[in-house]
Amino acid sequence: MLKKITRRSLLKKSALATAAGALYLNFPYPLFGNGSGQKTPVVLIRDENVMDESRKFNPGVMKEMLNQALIRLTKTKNAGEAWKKLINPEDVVGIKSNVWNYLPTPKELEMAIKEGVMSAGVPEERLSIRDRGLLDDPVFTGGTALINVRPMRTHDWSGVGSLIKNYITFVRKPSMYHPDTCADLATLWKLPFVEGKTRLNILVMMTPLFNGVGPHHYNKKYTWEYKGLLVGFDPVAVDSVGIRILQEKRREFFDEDRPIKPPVKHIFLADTRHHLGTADPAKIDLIKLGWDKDILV
Amino acid sequence: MFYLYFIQLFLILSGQQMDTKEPDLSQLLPLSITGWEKTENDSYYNEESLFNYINGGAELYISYGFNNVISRRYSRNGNSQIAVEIFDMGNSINAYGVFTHVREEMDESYGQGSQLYEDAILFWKYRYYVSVVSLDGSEDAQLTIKNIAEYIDDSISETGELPGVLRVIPERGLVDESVLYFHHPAWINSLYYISDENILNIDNQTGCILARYGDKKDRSYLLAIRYSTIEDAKRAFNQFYKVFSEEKDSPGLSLMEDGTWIAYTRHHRYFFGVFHASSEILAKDLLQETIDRIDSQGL
Repeated sequence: MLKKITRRSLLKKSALATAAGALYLNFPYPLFGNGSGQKTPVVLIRDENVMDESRKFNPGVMKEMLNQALIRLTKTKNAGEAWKKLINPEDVVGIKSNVWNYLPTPKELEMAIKEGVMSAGVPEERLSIRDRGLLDDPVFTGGTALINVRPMRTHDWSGVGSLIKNYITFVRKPSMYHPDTCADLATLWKLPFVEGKTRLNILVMMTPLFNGVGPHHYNKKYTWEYKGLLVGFDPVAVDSVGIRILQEKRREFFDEDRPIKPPVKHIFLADTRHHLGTADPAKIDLIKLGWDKDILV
Repeated sequence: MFYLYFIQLFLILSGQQMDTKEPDLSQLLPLSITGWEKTENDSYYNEESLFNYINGGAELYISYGFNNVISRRYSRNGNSQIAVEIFDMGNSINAYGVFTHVREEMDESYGQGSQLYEDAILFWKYRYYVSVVSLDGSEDAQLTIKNIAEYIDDSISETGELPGVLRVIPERGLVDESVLYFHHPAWINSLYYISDENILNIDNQTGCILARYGDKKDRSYLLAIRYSTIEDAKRAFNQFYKVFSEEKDSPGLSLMEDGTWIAYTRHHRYFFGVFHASSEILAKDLLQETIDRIDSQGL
């Protein structure tokens, strides 16, 4: 009689140690430790009215979603208090966006963030919204605070375009981070212009891309109207929830397990190797607000 | 001269082609077609510059020995846009391999295999991987991408060989469109998690196949790797065995805690693994069929 071999034991022999299990497909068993510490909050907020049938965003609904998420995250009574808890009037604030053609950070969300930052007392000249050219922008090189905001999508080499990966434009040669399918992207967060400055992470889950094809890695067929935002302080935790949603969507769409390819190493290793945050679902307090139809998580 | 001849003969026999000519990719494309005009100067990218075009996505193509690519845009009345890329992958095996990443159904409308979407056509032929995409989704553009794909297909006069390792995988129960060919360790977990480390020593001297078998409710996965030498295959098998076996008296078979089976073996210069099989018999049968194909074909 054979002794049953466990996926846990296989992983313990691998470079990822106990990191990957719960987030890899084909791994039905929770493999993270049962830490007893405080859970990391991540807010998932959805609103079915945030876009119309042509996927045009409603700026008012978008702003309200963001503010409600922040109120819950910061445990404050209103949006004004929430923003003041995140940003000081003296701050110089870089809003790190994403301009990928097919799925950029929505302008309506950028504006909502900008208004929020200004409501905390930061004048317009001390904030900047951009994705490219960060190293030539004094707000990003000499700033005191960063807000990280981007849509989640699959990616041909890193598995997904994530919040962790969004700081890749802080380097002049991104390919330096490509070895081992971008395993060590979390080290971007140790760069001098970045370390310790991120006040908020927002993963845009409005129309996520759950499968990519061809050199443009995009086809509308592989997006859906999820109409959500994931908001948190810990980028690893927020990304981790985002991956679970993408994986569930893939399972639903393909009607079987289809692992994200290649596996999303960089998020697991951001937890276990680089200690940037937690990817462990058991250590994440997922707070769900708003529309809950087909929530997938 | 004889030396070169023997190298070429060896490469052909081992399933590879030595294509030394650098083709002019622009010759494969129309300047205009059904009222659509080439809009701007073509862009060309090589291994160094491809990152400037598709960022990290470049690594997928580089992992298949990418040579260069032409990118051309077409427009009608200055509005609608169509994007065309022709990737020269150096040989047909690499072109086929890249294509297997996007194949969702078996289709040969274009080239030697195509994947069709409402607003995109992807296909491979000879040493080329081709993408024709309507950027605005208009009806006119959707029709025109078919014309462009047909033009390119006709312009490529040659066809290419498939990877030799394909011949070893059994047809019974195979989900044809799931077959993935690769020779870079990044793709080992594409269908089923196997390892984060390159325990099977996959590199560009190996030819690897991953494929789904059975139906969705009874899915298993086959991994087939052809090594350059029997010694290479032995080394890979031993490393795999160390990771996948917890019982010294059960080489080649593991029962997973979810009740599925993993079976693996080495035969000549091949390594085979069957994963997620619902029974021991099913796992062993698939392995045996694979071995039988090698023996019967003298591979």
